[in-house]
Amino acid sequence: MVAASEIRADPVRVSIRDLEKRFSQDVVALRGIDLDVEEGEFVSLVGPSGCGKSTLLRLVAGLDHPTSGKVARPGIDDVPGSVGFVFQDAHLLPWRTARRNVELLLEIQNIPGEERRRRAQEALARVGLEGFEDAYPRQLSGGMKMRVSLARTLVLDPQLFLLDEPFGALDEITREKLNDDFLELTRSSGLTTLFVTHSVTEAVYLSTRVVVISDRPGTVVDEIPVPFTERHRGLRNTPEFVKTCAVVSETLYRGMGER
Amino acid sequence: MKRVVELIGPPLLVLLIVVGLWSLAVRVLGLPAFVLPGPARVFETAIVESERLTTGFRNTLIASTVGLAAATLVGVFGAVILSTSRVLERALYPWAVVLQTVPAVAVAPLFVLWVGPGLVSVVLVAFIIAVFPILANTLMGLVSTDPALIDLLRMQGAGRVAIFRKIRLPNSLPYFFTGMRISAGLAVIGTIVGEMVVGRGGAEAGLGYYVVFSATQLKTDFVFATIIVSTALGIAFFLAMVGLSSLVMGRWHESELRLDR
Repeated sequence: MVAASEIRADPVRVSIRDLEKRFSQDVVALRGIDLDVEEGEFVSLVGPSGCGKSTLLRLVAGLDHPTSGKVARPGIDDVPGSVGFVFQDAHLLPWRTARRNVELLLEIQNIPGEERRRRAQEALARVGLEGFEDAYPRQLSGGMKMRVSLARTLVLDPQLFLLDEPFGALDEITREKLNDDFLELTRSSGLTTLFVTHSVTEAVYLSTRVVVISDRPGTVVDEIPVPFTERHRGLRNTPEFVKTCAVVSETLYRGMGER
Repeated sequence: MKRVVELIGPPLLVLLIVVGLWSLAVRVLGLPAFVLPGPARVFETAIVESERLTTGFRNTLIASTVGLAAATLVGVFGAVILSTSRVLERALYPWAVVLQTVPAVAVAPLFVLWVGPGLVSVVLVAFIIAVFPILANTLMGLVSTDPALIDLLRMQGAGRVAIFRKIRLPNSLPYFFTGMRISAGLAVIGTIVGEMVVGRGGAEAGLGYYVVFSATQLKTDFVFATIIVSTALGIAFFLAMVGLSSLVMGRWHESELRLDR
């Protein structure tokens, strides 16, 4: 079983082995996590709040270090711009226009102004914000701010896309619209995505695989493959979709009882 | 035009009422001019003494400007230094607070003793009063940045300098201008206090000097005229900062947006 990852055809983008994260002697956030994410996969992490799923994402991003165990990002470690991170809130710079916000991370990479401008414009068009280049964040709605935030990361052409409940603060309608647009974006560019959410429906709708994390200390309760290849608005009402959600929910409750 | 009337109208009306009551009180109570001169008399004196008031205004303006400029430089530089290190901040910031609570009027004679009774002493008093709000506010702006944004930049390999330039510095602007608005008025007050203590007259005389000078001679009308000019200078300084802040942040900061209430 150990060799399973080596014989897979798809290259592994994220490899987590026996990971443990403690914040102090008594507070164990994550324990014994094993997880692989392959290229082109869309993996959701679902779990009760406070289970450590955001911590796990930060560890994958390299924003924090594990207490023990390993997190590897084969082939993309230490390549600037290869990992994109999107937070729950848009976190835009209020003193910059939408376009200049999208340019922010390109500036860090010392990309010349002309190219920066062009790529930022393209990225904004990809998230459906054409014509809003010169708008300041205060002039944009919550959903639009989130789109700018997505564009800011997409413009990097990341190999790995990490998202921490990016649509959690949005209303239902905006959220579903963004779900569809976002799916199209990740599918069309073959992005590898690790997505943290507390919404079972959202996880099942977006992912190719749902990983359920237990209550603290967070462990992987189970992984549920999502059987659909096509996504459309009606999908959420099909019996198969509802059934998959029910399986995830059950697993979630199992994880909450196991503490 | 309607906007201007709405903005200036109400406070102007209050001014007229106050001046009217002042004039009435002087007349009804029959107060002697050295106790409380009426507004007309103050105005007359201001015209008669316009030469000395102009000299005073100019000297106070120069000292306030230099004092505020020095306070801005030291305040911002100090805030940048303190923001780079937690240890430094913890070691030095409490002393900045202590320094702030030392009464400037009490320290002013020391400056006179050390650097002589001249412009430098006056500027030092203005500086010491004006520096703290700039330092404290700018520091607050530099350190209260969104941690998520800093994470985001770090992930792309940004160093401290890049994070400072892209995030911390622009983030501190609204705080800096808050400090500037407070310090602009304080610089004028500090200058006048300095001038009162330094006591240099003649061509070097500032408004503070004239306040003391005319008060000892019981020229209360001149005292009033000087106070009014000083106040006007303070307001001009404040408004200059408001203008500067809207010039710099006008397009993005909430405080600069014309929100309908």
